[in-house]
Amino acid sequence: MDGLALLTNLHADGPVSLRRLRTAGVRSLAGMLELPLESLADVLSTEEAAARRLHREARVLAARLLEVPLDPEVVPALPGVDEPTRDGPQVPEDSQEFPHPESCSGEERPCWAAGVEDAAAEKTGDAQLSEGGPPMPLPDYPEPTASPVEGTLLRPGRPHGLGRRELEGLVREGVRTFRALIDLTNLALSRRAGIPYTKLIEFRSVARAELRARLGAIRVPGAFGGVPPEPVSTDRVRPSEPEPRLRVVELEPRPRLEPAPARPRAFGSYRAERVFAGTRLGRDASREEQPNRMRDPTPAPTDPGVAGPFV
Amino acid sequence: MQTLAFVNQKGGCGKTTAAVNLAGALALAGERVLLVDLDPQAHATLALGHCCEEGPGVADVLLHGTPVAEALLLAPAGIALLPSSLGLSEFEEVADRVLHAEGFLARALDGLHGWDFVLIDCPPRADGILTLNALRAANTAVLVVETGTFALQGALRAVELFRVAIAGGRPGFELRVLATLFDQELRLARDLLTGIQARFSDALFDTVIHESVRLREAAAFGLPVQLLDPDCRAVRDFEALAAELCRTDASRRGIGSLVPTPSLNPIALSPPSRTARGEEQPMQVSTTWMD
Repeated sequence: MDGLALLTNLHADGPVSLRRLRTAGVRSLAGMLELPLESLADVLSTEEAAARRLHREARVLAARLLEVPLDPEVVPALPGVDEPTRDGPQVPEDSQEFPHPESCSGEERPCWAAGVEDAAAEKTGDAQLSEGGPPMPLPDYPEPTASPVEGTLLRPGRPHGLGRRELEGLVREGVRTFRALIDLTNLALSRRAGIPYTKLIEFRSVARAELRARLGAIRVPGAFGGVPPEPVSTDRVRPSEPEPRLRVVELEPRPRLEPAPARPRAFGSYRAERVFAGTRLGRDASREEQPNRMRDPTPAPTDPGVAGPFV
Repeated sequence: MQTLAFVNQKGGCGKTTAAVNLAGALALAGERVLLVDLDPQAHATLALGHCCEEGPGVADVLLHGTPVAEALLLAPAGIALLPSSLGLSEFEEVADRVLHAEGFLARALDGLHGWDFVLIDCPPRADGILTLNALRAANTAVLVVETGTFALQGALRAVELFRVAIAGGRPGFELRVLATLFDQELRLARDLLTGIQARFSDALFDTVIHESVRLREAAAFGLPVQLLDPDCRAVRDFEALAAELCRTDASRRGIGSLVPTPSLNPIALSPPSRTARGEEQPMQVSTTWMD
């Protein structure tokens, strides 16, 4: 199963869509991304909106599978990396996710793939800014102290799909850069920031893909671990935000549990005596009562018929 | 003749469902299909409407050398069925005292002619003697992986068991992976499918079997799903899987096909070889078709 088959199984009709794409000469995700949206809609016999959604999912999947290499030369320079700016792109107040097609003047375009698209591609607010669009102010985030590449700031829509609410949650927890997002993504961050863990992992995957294009392989910690966060410059921290501190909690040693003293069994011997209609199973009713050694530890007379509980 | 063994250590992942309904799809497409039920639970036999205690079955073929032709039953959709029975569990006990017990089924199927596809439904035990028999007889092992929790871990464990199982045996077989019980609405299932694709890549079938109530109902009725509801989603899935198998078989035999064959590079497992000093070399994974 290649990337194209995986895409059709995840987000389309599966074998039917795959057969149509291959009949049209599309052999890979990269080939599908080169198709215009109108042609894609014709091939799949669907509406352009559905074709656009599939196109978007194809980009995310291609980045995840690294089938479409990200050319760093064509990715526009991110604000705050080379030249720190105070005003950044502004997200419309009424939109939870960035960007909503109707709220932007142009069409939607993932920011990390800006350079590989044609003129009819979708555009993000950042791309509009780079093309001379109106600047949109953002809250005053502190400047990263790490290197310009590793300290790439998080912005609404960068990584793709990061909304304003999610960004605020991350910033509140001290995650302000791509590197911090990659290193600190774990279940605890998900709970504190109020972001579903699966969504947080998706943000991390896209952030990795972008940084990988610049830096190479990036090791990602597990769900329950993480590397210490990047040091944050204290003079830039907003007074209302407490500095993140690590508390060392020493666990009290568990009390050693002594085994409970052995109690005599309620029914005496290991082989429970059963009485059915006045007879005893496995024993001759005419025989005398056999002493029960569990109740009466007095050694019984030698009798081959008396069996101990563990014989 | 292409022989496929449906295997997985994990039970309930859809081996029997995949074997039965793929047999139905192939049979309705005009292929000559033989389904061998190698599971002592005889679920494939029951899923095709036959009783597992009447007449000779695969247990007699393995234990008593009964010819396969004498034990075959005609199942719905024109499928030839070699039924199972509870006596098959006796073979597992006998096999400990017999040399080369893992080759009984291969020897029994060697004399068969005229079949296009032989599908073997294996029990949920990748290292048992019955599964070993299936792997010895098959040229393709289909690892059935459900897109659920622990799916990938179970699949990797099964692959490791295959390696141990074929050590010192026949040269090797082709490993393919089939994803089943896929619910496109679940994010977890989509993520798991992406993870399975990342791990097995070209060995994973392009076709994914979606979860469908019709599949469960068809088994209860003793029919392949193609006969119960010809218009349901599961039928389309198995038709696509059958078409993919036929393309693969045609390309293997050098026969041209109308639909361009996608570039498949399945994983072929070879037993570890030994050096001149008797040291075991690591398993070689080749990426060529097994001829």
